[in-house]
Amino acid sequence: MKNSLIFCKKVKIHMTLPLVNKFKDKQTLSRLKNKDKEVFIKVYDDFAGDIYRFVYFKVGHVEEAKDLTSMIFLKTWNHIQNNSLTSSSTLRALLYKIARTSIVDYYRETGGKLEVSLDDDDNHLEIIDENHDLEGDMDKNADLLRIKNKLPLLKEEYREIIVLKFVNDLDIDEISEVTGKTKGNVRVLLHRSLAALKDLIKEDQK
Amino acid sequence: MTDRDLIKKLTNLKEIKPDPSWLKANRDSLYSQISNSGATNLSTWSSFVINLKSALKTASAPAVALASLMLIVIASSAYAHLLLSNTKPNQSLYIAREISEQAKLNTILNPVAREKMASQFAVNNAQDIATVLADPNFNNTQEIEKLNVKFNEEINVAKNSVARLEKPAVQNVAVSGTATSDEVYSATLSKDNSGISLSGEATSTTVDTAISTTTKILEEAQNLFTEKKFQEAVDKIDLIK
Repeated sequence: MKNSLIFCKKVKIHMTLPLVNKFKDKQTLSRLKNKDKEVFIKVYDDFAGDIYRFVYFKVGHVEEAKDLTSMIFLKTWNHIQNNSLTSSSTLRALLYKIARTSIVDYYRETGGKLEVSLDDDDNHLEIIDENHDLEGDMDKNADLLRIKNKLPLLKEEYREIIVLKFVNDLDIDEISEVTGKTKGNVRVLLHRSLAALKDLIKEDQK
Repeated sequence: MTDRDLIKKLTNLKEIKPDPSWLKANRDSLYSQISNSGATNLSTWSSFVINLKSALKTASAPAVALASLMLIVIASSAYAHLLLSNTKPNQSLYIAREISEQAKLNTILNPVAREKMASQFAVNNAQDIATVLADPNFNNTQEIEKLNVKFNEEINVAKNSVARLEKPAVQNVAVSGTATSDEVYSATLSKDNSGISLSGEATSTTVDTAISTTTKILEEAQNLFTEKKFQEAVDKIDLIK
């Protein structure tokens, strides 16, 4: 009886949560469209970290990532004011779409090349482990640094999809919308990109 | 390293975060930039409209369509009920009222409740007919003839219903002295409980008295109607209601 109640609660949450999220998303977009600055700042607070990380993994330099992140939010504000909102299903997808095009535009304008090194000293990885196993921490740090160093060696397409899915937690639908690829294509790409990253790490371990 | 391990390690890359002081400074800078471009705080009314629109957009199209349909059905049935209840026997919509009454009667399964409702409808209809005929401007002879017949039919229906209604109630009271008051005062056609007592030995007598009173009033109304004292007939029927 207790188990069935818990199951019912879980099902209810599972069914209502997407609707609540969808409602909040539509509400936020409409408020932005109506020039609500408080909502814009809340959007910034919610997404600035994620967008920065996405940009950082694309460009590999902290200062450029900061400039671009700032620009992306301003562009999003202007885009919402000047366009209908039917083109994007969620605000998050819209932000990432604008981020992608902004990065491309930025390099086109500056005449630079998109070369990623992720070699900034500012972004040291800190692993939080409840058990404080120092030896384990060191191993994890080493693993993470290895992954961080190998990511730039991946194809741009692979790196982007890995960051979107596993670092920034976008779902397949959103990735499909952001990248303009079909859902099936996204799944295949995810599989291939993980395999490619694994191969790179294996080579390194040898 | 398995896929799961790799994914777990990739998830840890979330630790890469921008400098908090830069985040705050950039936040303030963005805030002032958008304020210059006309951004404001929304009024309560605008927020309400936005919330309503968002809710409509969130709900799937079939759900919105179904809700709208239900709203239309409920609103139109409420309006129709209002319209029909005010229809008089000389009006063309009266036939719709009769059909509606018949439909309502058919939906009730409890025979006592059905008889009670039938008698109420009949009494109401009889009173409406008398009211129409009491109007000195109403002089359609053919219509008057029809309404005369109709009035007598309605009174007979009411009398029969009352008679059928009282029988089981009286029997129930006779069997047990604690019969429910519902059955009894539905039979006595009284709006309030005054004059109806179901306790003790007097119960059966009280109900009998109520039956004869109701039937008597109906007969008196019928006589007044036959004598063309329509207004008095209306007042008499009012006593039952």
